[in-house]
Amino acid sequence: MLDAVNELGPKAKYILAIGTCASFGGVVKPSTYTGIKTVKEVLNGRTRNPIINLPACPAHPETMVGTVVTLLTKGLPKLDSYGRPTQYYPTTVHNNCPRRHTEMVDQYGAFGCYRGIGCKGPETTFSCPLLKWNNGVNWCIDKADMQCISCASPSFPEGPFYYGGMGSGDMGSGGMGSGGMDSGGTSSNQSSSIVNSIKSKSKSY
Amino acid sequence: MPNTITIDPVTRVEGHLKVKVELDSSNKVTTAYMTGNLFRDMENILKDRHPWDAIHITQRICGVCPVSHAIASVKANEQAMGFTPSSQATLQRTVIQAGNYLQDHILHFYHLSLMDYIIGPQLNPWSPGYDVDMRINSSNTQRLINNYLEGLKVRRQAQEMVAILAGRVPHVMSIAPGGVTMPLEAGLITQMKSYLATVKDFINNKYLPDVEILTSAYSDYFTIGQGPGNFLSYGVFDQADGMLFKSGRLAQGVSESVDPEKISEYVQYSYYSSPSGLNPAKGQTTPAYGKSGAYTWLKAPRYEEQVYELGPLARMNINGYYNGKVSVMDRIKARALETQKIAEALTGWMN
Repeated sequence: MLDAVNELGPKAKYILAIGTCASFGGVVKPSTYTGIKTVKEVLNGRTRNPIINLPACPAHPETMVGTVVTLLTKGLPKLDSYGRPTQYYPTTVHNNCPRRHTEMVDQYGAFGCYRGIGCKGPETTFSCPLLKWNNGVNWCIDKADMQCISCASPSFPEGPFYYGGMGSGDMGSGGMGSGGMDSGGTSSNQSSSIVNSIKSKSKSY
Repeated sequence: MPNTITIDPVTRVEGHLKVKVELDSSNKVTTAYMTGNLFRDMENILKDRHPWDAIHITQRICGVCPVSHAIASVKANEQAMGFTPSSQATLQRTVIQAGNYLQDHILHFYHLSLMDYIIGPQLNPWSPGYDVDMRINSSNTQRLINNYLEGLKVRRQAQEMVAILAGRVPHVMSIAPGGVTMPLEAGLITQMKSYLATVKDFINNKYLPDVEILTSAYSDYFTIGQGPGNFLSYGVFDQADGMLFKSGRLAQGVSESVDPEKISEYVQYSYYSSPSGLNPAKGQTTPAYGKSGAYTWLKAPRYEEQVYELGPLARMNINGYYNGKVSVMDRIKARALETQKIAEALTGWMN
């Protein structure tokens, strides 16, 4: 694969790095053995046009098809400093999130804003609240009631994902009440003390 | 000097596979080397991380079957914490998993296997294509191609059904320690049921009859591909009263139970310097590319030193839902029947 990229990359008119692994290293980046490189690291300076990064994990089909259409009809789209088309990567997930002005909650599965428990929406640039997933039927936060894990950003898969790691070691604190239905071993006393400790440690928003 | 055929990569599989076979003078295969060509170090990436992160990281092992990894990771976490999720949450996970199986099996038959048996339209990506021993007549071929294309759409719809409950597919979000984050409402169930109706219609009226077309044209393939003759399943689709496909083992036709302690992973021919024969619970993965004698990144798992086959044929045979024969065509047929069974079960689960 590396040979193919090295041989064909300099000859290609446009190059799309599809997915977070190709754009930024992605889920394999923490590995010390594999020596993973991004497309940019392999081809830097040897391409005819700037490399277009389309990070997300999985790669989002609308960004792929939309960018190809733009390339065919208009040419290179406007790219930000990370090489991402600004059309699909305009601002943070947080800025477009429908939960933005809702009440902050202390566990997933409850309707509200997960910023206080570790949602990575504020630090992730992608338009997924607008594009959504699977033909727009759903996306990670709205309806699924789960936080953003920053799958489209250069820092992915930096963790811990859940509760910023503060809910660790104790099932009671992390209870995912499946929407108010009986979820077995949750203990609400634990949840609120964890929330208090998170709130005291985090900045005010 | 044996005659050698190497195919690298094997196309239309998920993963990176190279096959090298050595043939004797009568063109029978004497030795076969299956090489897994990709190593991503997932085992070591998970070390020193919060264990709940595994739910998301392991999903990235595969974009076709991420749900299995999510469920395995979350169950491992819950078992370690001594926690049992509610039956409602368990059912939701089962529905997510089942929906994923539907699209996966349709993908396997139409988009991965079928082009071995028919010649497609003379366009990319079907051409250049395999064109040896094509037996299906042109009107059936046309029908199969039409269903191939429709299958792309039906697959997408099955995924949308799953995404309603999972947040997105692949790499689901709503499976979490404790249960499922997404609450279910009647409107969403209705939406899912309408997707299910479309998928079921396709399975019953297109997928299964197409499998019939294939198995009749290649009926001699019911005698090749016998495999090792041992089957194993860990069980899948938790319900309140046990799994739809129970776990079990068929050792040369004899029914037995599954004890995970008896599994060992051998690395004699694999690029690892870690010890061979470890049980996965105490596994080690120390990569060592270029190790003498090694030719693959895959470890060789064995149950009591024996090779076991898993997958739809295994699950269907072990649970008595299939007639128990083993061959290339039996695998394709068992997969189709399993798809139908899961679609039926989904109707029940959604009610």
